Amino acid sequence: MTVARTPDEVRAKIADILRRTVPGAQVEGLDPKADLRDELDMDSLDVLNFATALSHELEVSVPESDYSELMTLERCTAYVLSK
Amino acid sequence: MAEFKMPSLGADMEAGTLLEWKVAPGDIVKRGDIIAVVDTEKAAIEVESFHAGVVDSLVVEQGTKVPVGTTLAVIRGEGEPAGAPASPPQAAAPPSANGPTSTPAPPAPLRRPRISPAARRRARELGVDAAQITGSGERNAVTLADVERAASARAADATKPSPAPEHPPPEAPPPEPPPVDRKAEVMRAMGAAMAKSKREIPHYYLSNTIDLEPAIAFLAAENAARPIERRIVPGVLLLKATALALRAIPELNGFFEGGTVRHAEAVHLGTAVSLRGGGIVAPAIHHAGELPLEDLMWRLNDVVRRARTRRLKSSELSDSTATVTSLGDRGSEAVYGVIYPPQVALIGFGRISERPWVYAGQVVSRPLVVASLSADHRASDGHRGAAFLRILEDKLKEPESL
Repeated sequence: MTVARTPDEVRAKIADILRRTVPGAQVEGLDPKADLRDELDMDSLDVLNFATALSHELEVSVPESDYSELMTLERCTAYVLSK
Repeated sequence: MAEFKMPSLGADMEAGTLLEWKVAPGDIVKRGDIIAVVDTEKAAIEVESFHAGVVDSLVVEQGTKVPVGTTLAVIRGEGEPAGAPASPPQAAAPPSANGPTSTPAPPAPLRRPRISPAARRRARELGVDAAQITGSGERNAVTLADVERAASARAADATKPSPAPEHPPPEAPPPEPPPVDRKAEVMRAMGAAMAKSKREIPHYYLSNTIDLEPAIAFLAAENAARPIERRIVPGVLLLKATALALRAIPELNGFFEGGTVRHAEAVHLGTAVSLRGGGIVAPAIHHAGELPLEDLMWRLNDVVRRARTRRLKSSELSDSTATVTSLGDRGSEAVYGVIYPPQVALIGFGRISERPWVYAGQVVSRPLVVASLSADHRASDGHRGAAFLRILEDKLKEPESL
């Protein structure tokens, strides 16, 4: 499996991926419980691109049925850590 | 001689700023080559050439805003003599009555010397005016060495006191887009196009609720077998089915211009993309009905990304034969869109959501979508419009055929 990760490292990585996959996204100051699709105006392509980058860079496999688990910073972090 | 003019990149465009030349006099261009970048309210557009030949002269300087139709460059066919004065470059036809647009007198053509791209780049870096250099290369072409020599000569000159500069100022570097309130401009341009549409186009509207259970199940099975980067979003199925249905009902695929309807042969599907910060662009996905789903997915992703990073090609903004707006999974239930002139139809999809539906005599929960058609009554009628929606529904019920 992958290297051990702290929640802070995972959070930082998620923010980094969001910045790259959603150009212009204001990631700082996001409410960890807020829906990313609403906060960052993400459409289904953005969601897929975010999930793809997450899957590759954090080495977690994300089936399509789990996309909704990624849609707040808090839940996304927990999802990655649970894998 | 052919004149390369400021293209109209959509019904809402009146003028554009020539941001950057991608060619120089003497360059050979093919049809479809990118020859300039033009800034419009919505995006920086890479403009493609309609002609093949040799660039004779560039008429408009970088950084200049000119009305649609203004000659930007002259391209001569292979074999035509260089510099043969064709009809002198004309300024644009009078701007539309929609708004005041200043029509600057066209400046004299800039006869630039033959120069290699590397030398041109270096000249720009060093602030040397290549037009002032006598070339030592083949057919008097200005070489890299010529540029370097000119730069050091100028540096030597600069150490001497001189009362007035002998040379004209060096060529300016490519200018930045002018600082404008982009959002206000986008809103203004979109408003102008939509006002024209609602003023001139007699819209009629139809809608059907479509059961997407078969399509969603098909995609789930497809995607489960695919690596994540090759998965397909439901919107791609909607686009493909729309393109196929448009092919079956040609009255909805084309243009109304000058009092007549013109059906388009191919289906180039304009795809409405909302820009972050406001505004919409609808770049065309060419031959959408002929692309396998995976290719269509790739094209959609590509065109959305480029629309949002402001890098579209001119053909993508001018070729659409009908437009689709798809609200996605956070949108409203249904959309009845405004047709983008001179097109004659706009197809809208609301949010796909689980709702009650009667299936085999039972009320069950199914993923439904409201598909709508806004169409121009001068080009089609409700009877044909209904046939279109029926075909669309049939296609989505047989996703394997998409």
